[in-house]
Amino acid sequence: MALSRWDETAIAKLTRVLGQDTAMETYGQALRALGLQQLYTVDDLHRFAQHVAALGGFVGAVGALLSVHSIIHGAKGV
Amino acid sequence: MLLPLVQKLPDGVTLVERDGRISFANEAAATLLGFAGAEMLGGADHGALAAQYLLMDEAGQALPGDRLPTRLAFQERRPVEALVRFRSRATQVERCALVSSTPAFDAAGAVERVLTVFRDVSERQRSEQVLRFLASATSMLGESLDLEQTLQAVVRAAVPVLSDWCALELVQPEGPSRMVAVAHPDPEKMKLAWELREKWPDDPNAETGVPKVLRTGEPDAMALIPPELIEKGARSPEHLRVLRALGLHSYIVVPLKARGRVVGALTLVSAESRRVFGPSDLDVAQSLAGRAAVALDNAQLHADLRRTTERLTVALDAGRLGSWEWDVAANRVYWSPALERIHGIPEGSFGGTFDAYQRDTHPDDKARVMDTVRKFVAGSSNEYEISYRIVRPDGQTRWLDARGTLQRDRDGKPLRLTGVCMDVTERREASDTLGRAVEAQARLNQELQAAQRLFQTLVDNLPELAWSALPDGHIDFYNRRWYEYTGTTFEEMQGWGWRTVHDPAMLDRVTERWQHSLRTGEPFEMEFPLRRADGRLRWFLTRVNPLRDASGSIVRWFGTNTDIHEQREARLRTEGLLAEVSEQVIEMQAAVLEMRAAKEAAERRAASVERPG
Repeated sequence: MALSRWDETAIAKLTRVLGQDTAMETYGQALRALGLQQLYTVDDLHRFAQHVAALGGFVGAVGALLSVHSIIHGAKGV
Repeated sequence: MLLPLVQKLPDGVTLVERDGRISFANEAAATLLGFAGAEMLGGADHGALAAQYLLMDEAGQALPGDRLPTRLAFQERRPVEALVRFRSRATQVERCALVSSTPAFDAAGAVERVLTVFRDVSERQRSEQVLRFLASATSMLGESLDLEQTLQAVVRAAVPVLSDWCALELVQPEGPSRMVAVAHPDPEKMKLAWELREKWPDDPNAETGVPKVLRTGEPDAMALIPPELIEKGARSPEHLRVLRALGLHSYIVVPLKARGRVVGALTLVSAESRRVFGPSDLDVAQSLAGRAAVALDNAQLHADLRRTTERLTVALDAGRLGSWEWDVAANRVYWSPALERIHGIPEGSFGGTFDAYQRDTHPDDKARVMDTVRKFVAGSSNEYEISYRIVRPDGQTRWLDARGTLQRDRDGKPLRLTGVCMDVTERREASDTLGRAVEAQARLNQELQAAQRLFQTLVDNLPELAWSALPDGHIDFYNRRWYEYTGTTFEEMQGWGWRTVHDPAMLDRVTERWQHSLRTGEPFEMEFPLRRADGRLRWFLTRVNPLRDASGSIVRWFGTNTDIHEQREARLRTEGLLAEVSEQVIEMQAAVLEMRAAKEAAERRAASVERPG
């Protein structure tokens, strides 16, 4: 299954800050927590970002950035 | 009537007249004086008698005619008795007579004639001489331990008492026997004897004489030596001439036996005296040989003892040993000169008592020594051993080791304690010094071991991994944390085994940097990951510093690996986050600018709607 542009964005930002292993682990855990298989839409990315931002720390900071990024790219923010 | 009786008397009887003419001589007198018959003597002149004999007194001094008992009886008008020795001028045979001369007076009171009675005491005299000689020889042999000189003196003294010739042959430990002494009154004949021995040594297998006696250990004697025997034994005309010149007449050869072993042979030979040796001569010869053998054996034992003593003395001196003996009953103590030297006192100055012995004992050791001696003497042990100090007259303290053996009587009562004493001061001091050095070394070792344990404990409990390497980089030590982290063993890690726990992607760089430090001596510092026991890599900051000796040479390298994995991760996350934030800010700035442009465009459109036309 090919990754969407929003999956790639999320993984890239998480990897840049957390490293590949932690990034993929965080990515997988967050999708499972949201009941998603993939981030198909920018709103999926926004929900993903909100979940990760709530984890706090470096992961939370990345989540906040992803949230801003999703809003900028059209997420409804609800 | 009395004449026949006088004629048959065993003693010689003569009557000498005033004019010196012998008017009567019985048969015994004729025999004694060597005349054919009493008739011949009866007519003989007194002067003729002196012409036939060399007359001597008891001591062997020449006796002038006017000192003869007969003459003296005439002169002094009294009975005279004297021992007179007659040596035949023709045969050299000597006889000895006790001569008693009694004067007979005429009516006028003048000495008319002298009655002389000769009692032949030759055999008695000879026996006495032999006894005196044996006593003298025994004395000589007993008094001197100079073997050959004594034997030569005895052989010389045997002539002419025992024989005309006397010789002594000794068995040699190796090789033929050796003639050590020969005696004859005539020095020229003695030369002949030595010449004979040198030119024609005895045949060891000869059937007679010295070789036979040395071989068999049995005496050999010949009352009369037949001329044929001499001719048979001669090996050349010259040999025969010399043998004949010696005039050998009768001989006895007896063995010298010491403790059952034949050690030599004594030879007695009659020649000029024409004496014929008989059983009594053989007894005398054997008696003398027995005495000589004992003396010889004693001398040999003495020589052996002396050699042993000399060797012992040398050994004692070399070992700085002094010998001592304590006669317990007599309370006498003997010290050898070496022991006196050990005690620092002049030789021969030791007092010889037990009190004198313990006078030098160190005051601090005196009670212990006395107690030891007391217990030893009262006990049942016979081996004595003690170490103690003495104080010499010059104030020097010396350590002595004494050992001894106690002899006891049948009841176990101590008789004498004999032993040796060794000055062990230097050895003891050396031992003490060595002991102190050993103790100091042991202490140092203990301290070193304690320091090593402390170091090991410290190093093992460091949070860092730590190790040390030889100057060439060969790692010979890792702390406990290293093994815990890597899950390896020393055998796997020693030397260059550490490379197996490195990330292969970085190993070449690490190795290159490490070898650079080894070449240049520069400290090493680098971050690289090390594989944990579970296989995961964690990052470490590795620092290695050289330890140098006084000359600046590197003797070891000490390295630590500090786990910086978390810090490094945090740093990388921070850096990544900052980069993300920067990008997001730029994106937001672009979004805001886009929104502002859109707003301004909207405002412009609204204004154009409000201003128609």
